[in-house]
Amino acid sequence: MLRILINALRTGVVTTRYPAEPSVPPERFRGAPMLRPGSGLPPPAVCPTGALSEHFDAGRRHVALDLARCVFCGRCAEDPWAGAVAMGRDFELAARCRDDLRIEVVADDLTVPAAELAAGPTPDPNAEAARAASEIHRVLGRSLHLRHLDAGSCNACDWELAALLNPVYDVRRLGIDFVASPRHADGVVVTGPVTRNLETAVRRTVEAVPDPRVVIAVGACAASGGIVGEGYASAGGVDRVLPVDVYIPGCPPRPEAILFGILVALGRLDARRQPREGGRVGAAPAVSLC
Amino acid sequence: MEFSALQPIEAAVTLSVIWIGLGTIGLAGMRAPRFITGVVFPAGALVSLALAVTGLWAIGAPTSSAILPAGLPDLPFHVRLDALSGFFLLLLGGVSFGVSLFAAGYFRDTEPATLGLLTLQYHVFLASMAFVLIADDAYLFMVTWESMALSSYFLVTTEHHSETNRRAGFIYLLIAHIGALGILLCFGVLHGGHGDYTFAALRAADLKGYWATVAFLLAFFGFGAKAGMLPLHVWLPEAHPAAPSPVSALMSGVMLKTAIYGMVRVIFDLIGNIRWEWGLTVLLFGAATSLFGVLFALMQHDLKRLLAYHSVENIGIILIGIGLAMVFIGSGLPVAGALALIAGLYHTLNHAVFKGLLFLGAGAILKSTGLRNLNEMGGLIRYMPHTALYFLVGALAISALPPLNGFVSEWLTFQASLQAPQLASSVVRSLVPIVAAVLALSGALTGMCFVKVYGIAFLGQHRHEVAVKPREASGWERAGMLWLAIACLALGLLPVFMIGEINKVSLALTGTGLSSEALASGWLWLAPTSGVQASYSPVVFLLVIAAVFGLTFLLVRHFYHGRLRRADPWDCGFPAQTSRMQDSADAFGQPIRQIFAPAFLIQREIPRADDPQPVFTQSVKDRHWRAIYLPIAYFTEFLSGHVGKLQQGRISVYLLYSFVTLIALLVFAQ
Amino acid sequence: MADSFLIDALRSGVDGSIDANVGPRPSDLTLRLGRTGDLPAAAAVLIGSHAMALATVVATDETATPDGDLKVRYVFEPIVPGTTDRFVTLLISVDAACPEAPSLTAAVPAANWHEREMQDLFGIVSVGHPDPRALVVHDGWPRGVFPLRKTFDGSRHVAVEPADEFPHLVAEGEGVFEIPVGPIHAGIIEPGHFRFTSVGETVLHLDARLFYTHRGLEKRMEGLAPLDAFYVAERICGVCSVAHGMGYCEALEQIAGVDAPPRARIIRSIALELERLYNHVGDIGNICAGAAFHYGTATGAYLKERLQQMNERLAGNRFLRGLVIPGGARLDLPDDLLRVLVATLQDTLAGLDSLMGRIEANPSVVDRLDDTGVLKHQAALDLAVAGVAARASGVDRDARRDHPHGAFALPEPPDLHVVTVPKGDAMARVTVRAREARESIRLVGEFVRRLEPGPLRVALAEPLPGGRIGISAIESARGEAVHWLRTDALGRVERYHLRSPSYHNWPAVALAAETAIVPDFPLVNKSFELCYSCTDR
Repeated sequence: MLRILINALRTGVVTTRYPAEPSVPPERFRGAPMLRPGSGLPPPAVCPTGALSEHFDAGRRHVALDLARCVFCGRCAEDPWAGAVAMGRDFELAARCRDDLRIEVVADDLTVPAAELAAGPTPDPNAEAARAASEIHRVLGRSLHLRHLDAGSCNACDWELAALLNPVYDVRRLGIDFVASPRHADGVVVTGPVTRNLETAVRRTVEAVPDPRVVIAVGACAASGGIVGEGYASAGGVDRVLPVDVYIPGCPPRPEAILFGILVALGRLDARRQPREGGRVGAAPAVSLC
Repeated sequence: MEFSALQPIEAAVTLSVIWIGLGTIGLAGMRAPRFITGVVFPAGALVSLALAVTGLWAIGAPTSSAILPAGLPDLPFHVRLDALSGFFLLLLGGVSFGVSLFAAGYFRDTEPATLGLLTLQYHVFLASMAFVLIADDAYLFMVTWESMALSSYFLVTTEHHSETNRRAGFIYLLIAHIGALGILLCFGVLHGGHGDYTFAALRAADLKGYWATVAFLLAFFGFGAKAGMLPLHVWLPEAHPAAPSPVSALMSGVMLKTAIYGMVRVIFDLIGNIRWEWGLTVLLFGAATSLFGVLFALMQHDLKRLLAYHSVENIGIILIGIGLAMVFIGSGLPVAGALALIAGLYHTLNHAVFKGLLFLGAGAILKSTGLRNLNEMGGLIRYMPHTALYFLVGALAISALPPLNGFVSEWLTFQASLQAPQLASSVVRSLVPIVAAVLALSGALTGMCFVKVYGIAFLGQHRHEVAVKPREASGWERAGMLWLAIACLALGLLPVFMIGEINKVSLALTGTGLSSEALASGWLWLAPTSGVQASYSPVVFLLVIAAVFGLTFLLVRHFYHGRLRRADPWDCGFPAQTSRMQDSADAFGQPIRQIFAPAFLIQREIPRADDPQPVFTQSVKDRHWRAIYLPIAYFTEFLSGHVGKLQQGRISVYLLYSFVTLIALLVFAQ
Repeated sequence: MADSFLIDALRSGVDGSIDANVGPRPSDLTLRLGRTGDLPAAAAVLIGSHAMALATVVATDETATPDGDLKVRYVFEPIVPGTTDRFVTLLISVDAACPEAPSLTAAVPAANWHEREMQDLFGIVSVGHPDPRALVVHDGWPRGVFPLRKTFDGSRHVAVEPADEFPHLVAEGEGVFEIPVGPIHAGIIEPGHFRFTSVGETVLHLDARLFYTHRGLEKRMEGLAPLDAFYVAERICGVCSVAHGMGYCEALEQIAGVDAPPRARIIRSIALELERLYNHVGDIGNICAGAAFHYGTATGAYLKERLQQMNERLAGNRFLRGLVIPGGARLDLPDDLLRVLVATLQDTLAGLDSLMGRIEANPSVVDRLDDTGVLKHQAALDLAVAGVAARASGVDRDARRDHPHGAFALPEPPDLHVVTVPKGDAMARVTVRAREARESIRLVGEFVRRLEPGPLRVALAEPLPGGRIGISAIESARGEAVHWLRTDALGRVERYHLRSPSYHNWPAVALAAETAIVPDFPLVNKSFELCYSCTDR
């Protein structure tokens, strides 16, 4: 017992201060791809999950990247498209609305300034406020109990959720905890594309959560079906079965990204902002955290 | 007959005789079952009530006696009604009132032929018990004791087509007679060759040397056999389940108490001069009995067998109280002895009431669903809400939870054991706390057992397949149970009154009662020794609980505005739930079975891992059979086999026996 | 030659003909049985006198080929340590109109789930199977619809219909009751249903039901370009990303006829050992959670976190996704990163030693772990249990030695010390993990020393040769994972089958749990720490 105490004291405090202080991922980290308009943009077939799509509008080629489908494999940023696509380091990608996760770029128009075009659609602040249900913030803002629901994930997202409870991220310091029964929960964190064998259990679990409740889809599979897609054994994403409050892209999303997403769901942080130039990342909290 | 001239004894005798009369009427009117269940049993109930009032009256009144115009020429029947008999008459009358009311409803659908005999045996049984309690000479005592045994034997074997019931009846009768033999020998020792067999003479007998101890042992084991004490308890778990439920209630509730009465009467009254070593014996047997009883009760899944084992346990608790009284009185501490005696007698009354209630509840379940096996019951609270409520009162009472009556008597027993430091002998001083610890263990295990019983029988989902939905018990049955439930509540909420009455019994029996400080605390607070040392107020307790519940309810209503959403319970996302997914009676007791494994004789068969149709079997048996009874039975068989060789079946041999006997007599009769 | 000895033994053991060929790899044998009924006898020869165990069973739909039938391949591998790396495949042809095959389960218990899966996905009935309940497709799946047949369009969602309750195998008896657990469990864990039959706390029988996370990934990969299919293979399971990615790559490289360059092989093996390491360390922490030793849980989680942050530095992803690519390695490991890696591993070693010291010195934890969840040696052999669970029951199997892959397939591979413990209880599995973790740290240091400058990738000729089969066995953190891959005429994936180590180990968990009490089940489950998603695919 004494040795345990000594070891603990010697290890000291290892907890990160995120989100009070920004978290900088390592150099090789593959965050949201940044598309530069030009002719070098890759064809949609390059993407293994179909996150890249193109359409033609008035003769101009528009290329869109759906972050909810992206598995961050980095293939679109490899040669010969390395000039047009770069894997950024932005991981705070959670959004309330699926459309906010679409980045659209016009492929062959060089006259439009890069900064303007590299941005995604500006989230409408009024809609934002309306959607950030004040009731949720008032009731759940200071203490949120989440029920984890594995709807058929590959377990990477599940392990990242489990990592939130380790001494480094210690999500309980933010008033967030994971509970055993949906009856004790304020919300459900769903991973996986909702497999056929689990569909009934998924519906029953969310139904068993008392109101008000939030549903958070974590990972590419939950947000859109991801690498699994829709199939005989998969519904193709949580929103095919349940209404989703927040989408957190990633394959898997880093624990800080998940944390960001949960705080967005609570209204304690604003959702995905416009990506900054050069891939600088940083999160300024919308309200003070206590 | 003017009231002022009426003696309690006359009332008692008259009422008992009325019972016999009712029984005969029942037998005669067997072609009119409605009449029997509608009139005879309720009439018997009224007689019970009157008898109870008589008993209560007799506790405070001076002792009255009479001589009946029956019996032997030089030993007519003497009867006497003093405080002790009055107390037990109160018990008999009070409990049998509820049981007879219940029986009025329970026996409604019995076959007319059986019903007639049943009514006769039932009322003869009641009358015999009443006479046992007022008997004042050994002869009447033995006659009525025997008729009590016989009538209850017939009651136990009412359903005689079942082999199990016949065997149960046989064992019951056998052990009852072994006990009767002991009692008879005890009376013989007390008689000692002088005087007659009236209790007055036996009381006055002066026993030399170790004869008092011999008398004590004969009485203790003789009455102990009837009371269901270790190791003579084996008939109890067989006979009580076999009998019809009202009879089980009477046997468990009242008949065992007549054995306690006998023990107290003979040891405290007739033998007198109590030695503390006797008390220690009683104490240790009582402790062993109570622990044994509750451990086996936890292993049962047959509801009535479980309740029978609980009777064994409670007899043990009563014996602890009585043993403590004997120890204290024998060590020269009469006040502590009085406290212990009062505790023991109060528990006698309490047990009679709540055990009667529980058996009646089991009877209601059996009548309604045909089920006795707990593993097949479940969810009965939905179909039988009244029975469930009364059973709950009984379960809480037997688990010794305040503010009901079981708590009071067990608390008093503990308070009595706390007087142990005053004792001189260090051996006893150290044994008493151990006994108190065993008592605490039994109490806790009882609570656990009744959580199991109530939870599995009434709560949850039904495990049984019922073709017809179980119906609530009929009006008479509910009335009987309600009476006993109210009695549990009353004895729990107003103990001071009852203690005062039992105090008179103690004064009459031993000459000492509770201390004056104890009696000075008023009706609200029960203080066994003095108000400063320990006191308990059940009324205050009840009010506080009610206030807390009410306040919580109101606060929740206020804060949550009664918002409610009804949904299925959480089931891990797995939709199909069956009734097999609940705890069963055997499973609930498994941890106890594992911890106390050496106490049981367990035979288990666990299926192998690759068995495609795995089956599990387990049986838990009483070691006493193998250790004591079967060896005795084999030895007896062996002996009788050899003795049987004398019966050659040839007349020449018998003539030889006669000739040899004649010669022997001629030689030795000189 | 050993091959001809084997073939002769088989020929004498069966009645029908045997058509023996070399393949899929030069050291392997594929034996086509003329009579389907000979299958049990042939399997008996392989298992009985040639010390082999079942590796995987692959069913394929070849109705579109000239043969016009369904084929089932029963792949066996040797279990005596030190034998040459080979797979022996028994190939039978099954009539598509009346698909039946004799069941091997009575003689080869490890074939149990394979045959049930075959029945659900292809409709091939295993005649004589002792437990023919549905395995992969749960209640309400339309009858007669087999997802892995070529005529079934797997891209559309099939609606869930209400259905009868699944018939669980339960024990009967007086006082026996059932405890259903799951599929949604209390902690952050994958879904599965466990039906206990118990009396009180004693477990009489455990019936485990998996395949809740069946996503139909094998069907998804059919028809994809090999590189696209790689990204699916890498994401079958999160904590086996490197192992499954590598297994797919090695099978693909066999088909393409190329060898990954040495530097890439070493980088691949470094990644594989890092994956084994973070898994073992995290699992030891999780086992402490099962024994309510929270210091152990927190310390294990902290050590695992540091390793995963190291992973992110190396590969850009905390699960090492994006390091392996068909043809080699996608990212290089420069010297500065390697220095940081070695330093982190030294810290991890110290932390692991300290953690194991605290565990072994704590009597209450040791009491929970000792003699809990015992898997007997013979049961481990019968069920072809793999990985930590096998080695902790005294079965000496490790795919790094038995089927060399990655850096172990290089001309002078480093030494490998395979850890076995005979006892088979939860403590043994903890001990095996700790020792293997130390061995992994040593191996990474050895690999780093052996890194020579060189190319990272070799190009795969597009399109790939059609109709060729690749087979590989990778030792993932949980044991040997066997990959079977075949291309179609256009060079795309025609059939891919993964037999993860968890697939064989799940029935062993049920056996081990039956020796423990109900409250110890989470501990037993965590001591195996199997992947549900690897099994379910």
